[in-house]
Amino acid sequence: MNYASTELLDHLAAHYAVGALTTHARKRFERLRQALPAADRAAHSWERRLAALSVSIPAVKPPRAVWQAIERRIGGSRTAATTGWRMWLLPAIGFAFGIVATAGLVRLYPAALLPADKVVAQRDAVPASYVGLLSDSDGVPTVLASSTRHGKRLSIKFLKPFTPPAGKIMQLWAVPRDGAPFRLGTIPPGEHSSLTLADTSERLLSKVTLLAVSLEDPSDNAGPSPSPFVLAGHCVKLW
Amino acid sequence: MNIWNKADGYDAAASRPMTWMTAIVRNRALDELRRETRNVAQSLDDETMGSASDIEDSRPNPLELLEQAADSLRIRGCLDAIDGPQRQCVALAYYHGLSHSELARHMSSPIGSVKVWLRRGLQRIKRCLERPS
Repeated sequence: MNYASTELLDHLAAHYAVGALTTHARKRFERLRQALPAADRAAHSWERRLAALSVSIPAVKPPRAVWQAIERRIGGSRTAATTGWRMWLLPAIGFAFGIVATAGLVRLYPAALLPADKVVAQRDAVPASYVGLLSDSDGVPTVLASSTRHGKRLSIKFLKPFTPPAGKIMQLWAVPRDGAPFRLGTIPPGEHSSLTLADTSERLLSKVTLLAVSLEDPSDNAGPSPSPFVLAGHCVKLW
Repeated sequence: MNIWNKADGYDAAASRPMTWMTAIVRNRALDELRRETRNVAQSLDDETMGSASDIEDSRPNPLELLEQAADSLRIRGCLDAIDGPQRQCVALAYYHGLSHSELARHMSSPIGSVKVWLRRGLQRIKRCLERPS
């Protein structure tokens, strides 16, 4: 075959992405993708295009045992305290989305995370920071939270409108790798806001794997445990 | 686990995270589907093949899924203009993972015709998706 032909690559990529190739042909095309950037680009184009058609596929909730098996495979083990937020914690999709989307956003829109003066001063070097990208239950990124590694100010930016129900406030929680969630503070209303942390990000977040938001009654804002999380995402170190 | 293991290889310039993850999940699902199909074909003898084909398919109808997607994407008018066999090939391949030969059997048509229908259907859908809603 003449793999220099754009038309042929597009044809193969289309049939690969739609799922019509046999196992053998699929493997052959996957090897071609690795060897030939044009084939990879064609496949990405078709995958992106056809992904839109997945909008009508009904969601299937995996059995609890699946999450537990994933949890074991990736080396974390959690018990009673996880019931309300297990679904957020270890699904690989959440991890991958959080890590890659956060990194992508930081590269593309540093101003979303950092004060403008620091962006200008360090345009080519994002300062060491903790960053969380919190998504809603549909996986849509909703909140960016960031703080410099040794800072005590956590910046909050809403990426889409999110209004708590009347009479509820938004509490931000940190979930450590091993241990119970602890409260970081109440998120003020508004697209942009910030929290003053009780200590530096490094001391508070170095062992935290997840940031999450729960809706609480204002009178419960000092309670020790969260209501079910409505937003959550991985907390990553950027350095 | 595949997504977890491949996270390092994600290229933000090449695709959005959900597209990237959807492709990984679909590819893995297709691999499993092909493997299962092969195993079923090997384990069923002629006598049981008849009863196996009588089992009701509880999966959502692929054409309905395609139409629902078109409604969501506001390309229903464009989709309806695509010939029936072309639409059916795309829907069966995308939503049920049928290969060329399986499509040919399902539609009782030569494999060459099925490949042409699928190619034309994909090109038509590509134009639908690229057309402003």
